Amino acid sequence: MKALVAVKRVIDYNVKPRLKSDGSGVDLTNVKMSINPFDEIAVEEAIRLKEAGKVSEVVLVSIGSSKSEETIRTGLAMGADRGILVNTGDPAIEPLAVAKILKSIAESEQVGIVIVGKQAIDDDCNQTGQMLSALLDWPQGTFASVVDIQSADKVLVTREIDGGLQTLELDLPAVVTTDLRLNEPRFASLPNIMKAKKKPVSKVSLADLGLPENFIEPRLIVQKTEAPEVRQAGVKVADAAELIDKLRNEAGVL
Amino acid sequence: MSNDPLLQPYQLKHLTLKNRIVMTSHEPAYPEDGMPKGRYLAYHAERAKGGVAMTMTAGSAAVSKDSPPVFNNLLVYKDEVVPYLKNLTDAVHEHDTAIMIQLTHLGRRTRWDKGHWLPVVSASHEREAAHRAFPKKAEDWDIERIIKDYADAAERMKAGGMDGIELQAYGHLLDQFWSPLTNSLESPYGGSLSNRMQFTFDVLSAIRERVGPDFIVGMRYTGDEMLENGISPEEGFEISHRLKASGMVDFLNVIRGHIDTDAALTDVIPIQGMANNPHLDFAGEMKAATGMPVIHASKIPDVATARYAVASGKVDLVGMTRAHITDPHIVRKIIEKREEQIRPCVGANYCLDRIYQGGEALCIHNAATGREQTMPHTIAKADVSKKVVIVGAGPAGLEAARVAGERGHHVVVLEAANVPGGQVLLTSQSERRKEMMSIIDWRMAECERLGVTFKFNTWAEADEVNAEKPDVVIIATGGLPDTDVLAKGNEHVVSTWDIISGDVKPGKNVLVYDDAGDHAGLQAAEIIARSGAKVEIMTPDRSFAPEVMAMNLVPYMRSLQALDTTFTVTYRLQALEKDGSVLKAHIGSDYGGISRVKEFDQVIVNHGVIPLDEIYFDLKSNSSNHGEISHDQLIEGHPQSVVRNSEGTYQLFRIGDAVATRNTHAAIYDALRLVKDL
Ligand SMILES: Cc1cc2nc3c(=O)[nH]c(=O)nc-3n(C[C@H](O)[C@H](O)[C@H](O)COP(=O)(O)O)c2cc1C
Repeated sequence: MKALVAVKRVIDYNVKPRLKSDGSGVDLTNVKMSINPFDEIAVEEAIRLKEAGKVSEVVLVSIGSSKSEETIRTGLAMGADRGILVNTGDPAIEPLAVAKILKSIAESEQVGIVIVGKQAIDDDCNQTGQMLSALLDWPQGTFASVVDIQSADKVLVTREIDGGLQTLELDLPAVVTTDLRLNEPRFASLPNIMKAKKKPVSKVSLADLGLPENFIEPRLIVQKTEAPEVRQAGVKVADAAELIDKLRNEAGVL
Repeated sequence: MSNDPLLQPYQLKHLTLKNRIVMTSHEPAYPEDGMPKGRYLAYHAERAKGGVAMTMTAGSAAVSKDSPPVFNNLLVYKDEVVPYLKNLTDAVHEHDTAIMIQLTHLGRRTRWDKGHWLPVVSASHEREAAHRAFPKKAEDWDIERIIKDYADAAERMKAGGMDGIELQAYGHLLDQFWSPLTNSLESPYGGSLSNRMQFTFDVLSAIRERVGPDFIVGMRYTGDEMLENGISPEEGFEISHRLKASGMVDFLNVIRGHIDTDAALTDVIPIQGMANNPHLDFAGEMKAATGMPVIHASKIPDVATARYAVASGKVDLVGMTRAHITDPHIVRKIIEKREEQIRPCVGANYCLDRIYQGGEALCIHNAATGREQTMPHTIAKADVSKKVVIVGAGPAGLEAARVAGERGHHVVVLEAANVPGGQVLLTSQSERRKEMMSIIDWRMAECERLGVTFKFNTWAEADEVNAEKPDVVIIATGGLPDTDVLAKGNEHVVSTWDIISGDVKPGKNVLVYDDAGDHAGLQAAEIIARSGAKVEIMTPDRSFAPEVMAMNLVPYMRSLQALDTTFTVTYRLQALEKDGSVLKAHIGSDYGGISRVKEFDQVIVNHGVIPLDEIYFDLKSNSSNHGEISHDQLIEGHPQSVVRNSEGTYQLFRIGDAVATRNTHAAIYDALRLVKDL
């Protein structure tokens, strides 16, 4: 069974984002970009499934400009087998378009499981996996903290829900989205980075996938982007009485 | 005025200290002929310039001829030291920093085969494990002459312009008298606590007689030996009270523990991965009990903890000693609200471990420390800004990038991985050694401040480098593990990196064959042993892991011994044969006449790295210097001017492990001394 993992190139989680001066979005010039952390967890999970003999091949797909090949190489250095870069140029594309592209690839590659991050840390949409599941009409296990493939047509997915854990039994093929506690991604060692250079990455266009160019056009309009308000410095209180006094009389929360 | 607790002045007797941060006594082993000459002075002057309130110089300066240095200490029993001290104290006072010095007689903590070949003297015949000498038990005339030696030395220190002195009493002669474990003398110097302290009070009286009541005299002493039948905390408090009651002591510098073994010393001066400020509360109790001015140092490497130590009233003066070895300008950066720019001590303890091996103290990631006469702590701007392309973002590449950035060059760093760090990333896979990542993180923050451009996920080839149109190219690509050491069967070998990175799972019955003797071998061994496997570490050398050094070995031993690891020295792995799932190891010895076979299921080899130098050789022919570095210019601090190809469009240099396997300090020193003149 093949596993398909989607990986997105996003602003590195360590970088403090700066806004573009015209407020149209986050300034990405000269900023460190990395694989979306939830996608890295997805890659790790797929590799572990392969190591456990449950999955035969791990295929990565990234959608974006040619720079997204870096993101694929990161996953290949971790141990994925090959990559597909869907070159859509620079503009950010929205979850529905991503889901449609992934659907096309999942079908043509005949994969048994699709694993994606629950959300990307740049736009925090948390939509792609769910949309993909609906488009494919495959079952979905979102926010997974355990993925346990039982047989060629059954997978148990444990999900983190309010107040506890829920375990679902899904028919395969299925779509899984990863949560933070699913695993700890491995370290990509230099020898593996070197090996990853030689792994195949095929580059396809929307036309190659038989998809019209215009369907990646945004359906949402960004009105404005604002930085969060700067936090005010706190004060130290001498004792509990002063704290209560301030909470009551200044903050008005008591 | 600032209300930062660390920046408040402190009145010690007549002496006003301008803030609360001090360097406690630490001999960096820079004396020349036992004297504090130019290098010594430059080291302390740089820290005085950086704003430290007081520096306690020396470290175990020898008051007597039968206390020969164990790590190139100052010989303060010689009159000729005075003019050198005068220069030193003047240079420090110029920056309004106080300067004192620690005096000692090492007692049994030294060797007889040094200096004048005099027998080692103590209060019993008990041998100290660390220095191995069996001491002579002091006689009346020994005691008399040593008391006089202390007083003579104190007088010299005063004449040399010192603001005060401190006597060392943890593991040295004074407390060898105190501790029941090392004092088997009869009355008047043995027996009761009063008798055991008598020698100290005789020394103090003789010193006071010579230097008068005003000169500052303190005591650095252990208040709890943490040893069965040694000085107990109760006795420690009693000792503190008696020191105070004597009226001869102006401050207490509190230590807890004992130092007669590597492991014990490491608990007194903890290294990376061990808890911060482990003895601060104890020092605070001493202060509360005595009301005396208290100094204390023991792994308080960061400003926040130091601030807490002072603000909580536990100590009056906080020692940040190794922290100042790493960054001489801590106080200045606090004052200028640039705390985040302080180069962090990572607790690698390279400084201390080196002096115990006869070297000078050097900082693992500040190559200017101890080299103040030739290496700058503050990098000057270059006259001409150049385009500098650096390949590799390990310690060498990042130091090159930082220094080139400070020089005002336009710097681009190309890195194959998606994160910086190089081999430090591997190191930091060990929970205990994660602090090493600060070597990388600090440089990344500095590089960001300096506008250095990074291109990650970039496997640089000549094309990528040429596309940047560089004036200077620096190759800092490191290497890959070299495991080709066997006559036969190299294909069965696993590298330490395979284990550390998790690329290869540990076997069940594993041989770690280590002739590099550095951290990677032990780190891999520890990962394997923790997985539950049986581990044997083998080396052809006389001792294992020599590059790890004494104090750094301690946490490894605590872990590996508990996991039942076997250590085998003086045997050489010659070949491997695979027989089903079994690896037959053919083992010989450099001493000859040995041929054995032992079975394992996995064999790890630690043998350093082979440089990753393809790109260097690809770029060599089009460079102006064909990669040549003039050693004379490098050593003398002149810009590199070698021209071997007048058509060449860029200078090409190679640094760090991309040249040959060495260590982090070597990589960083390579970078600093080349790029500071670029
Ligand atoms: C290179 C070096 C040499 C030292 N030598 C002495 C010494 O001679 N006498 C002494 O009392 N302490 C000595 N120390 C210990 C320091 O004074 C200090 O107690 C120790 O480094 C812990 O403080 P820190 O964590 O701030 O570095 C030495 C420390 C270093 C790093």
